[in-house]
Amino acid sequence: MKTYRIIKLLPIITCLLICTISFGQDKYIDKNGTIVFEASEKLFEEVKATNKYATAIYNIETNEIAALALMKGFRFKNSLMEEHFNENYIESDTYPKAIFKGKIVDFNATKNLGETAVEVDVKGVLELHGKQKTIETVLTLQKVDNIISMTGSFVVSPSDFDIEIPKIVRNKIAKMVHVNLDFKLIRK
Amino acid sequence: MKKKTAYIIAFSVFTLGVLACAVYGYMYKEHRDIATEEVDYSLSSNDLKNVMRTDSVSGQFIDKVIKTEGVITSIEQNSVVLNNVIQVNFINTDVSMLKPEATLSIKGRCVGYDDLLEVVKIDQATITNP
Repeated sequence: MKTYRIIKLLPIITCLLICTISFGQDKYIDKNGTIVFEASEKLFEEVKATNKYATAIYNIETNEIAALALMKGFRFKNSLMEEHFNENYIESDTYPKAIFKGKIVDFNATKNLGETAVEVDVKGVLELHGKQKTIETVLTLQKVDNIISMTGSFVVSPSDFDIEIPKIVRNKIAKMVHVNLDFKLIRK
Repeated sequence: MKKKTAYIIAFSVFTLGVLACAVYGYMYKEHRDIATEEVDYSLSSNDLKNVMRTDSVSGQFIDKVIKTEGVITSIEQNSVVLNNVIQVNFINTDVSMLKPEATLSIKGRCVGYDDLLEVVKIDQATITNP
């Protein structure tokens, strides 16, 4: 009786297995994505940090994008600035990561993604410092063999995420923070 | 009298100089050198993943010098993955020299837990294989 039940379930199990395998093939992953943010003001020391191990996942079937950056992974030239960024502004002990979840709108990856670079619209939510903000921007996509290059930028402000800049340094940190991203996603 | 003023001037210049050096040293202190720092925690790659995925204890390990080891499961770009759970980025090791399935022992800074890929990220690592 028991074996019969399993046999009856077999087609469903195989179906599920095939589904997960085929879903798996639509994913492109980068574990070493680069995210740079800059909030420099002219005449003052540059306020710029780079994260070279951000994660990005792009599902070409559903057009969904997910990206994650660990706050401690952002490296500054000036170590004191890095310390202040972590302790006073971003509070990385309480909020260790930034997560973006979004989607490329009106784009057919299987048809339009190739060796010529294309610009696509992306809409999603960035969560950072316990706050969420909707981000809409343009990304450039290009696919060569099994690698998709995804580059782009957007602008945020510290106040969007309830990050208060003390008066004493307010004129040394730009109100608008430019974020640049550069991902090389490999087929998984 | 003149001698006294000269002393005062010399003293103030010296104090100012020391102060300036102290301020400069504070503002532009060197980055940490993980390779020469003492190891804070030494644990297996699976144990490290298990503690890092638990929010209540992960804070204790973040930014600390960790020593761990495992079998290389993948090598890509500048990073090496150990036992599918630890992603290691080195300071200046050429990862193309490493071979998959070799056992590697490393020391580096724990950056945090990546819940998209379910891996612990370690940076500024050095190889400590005997």
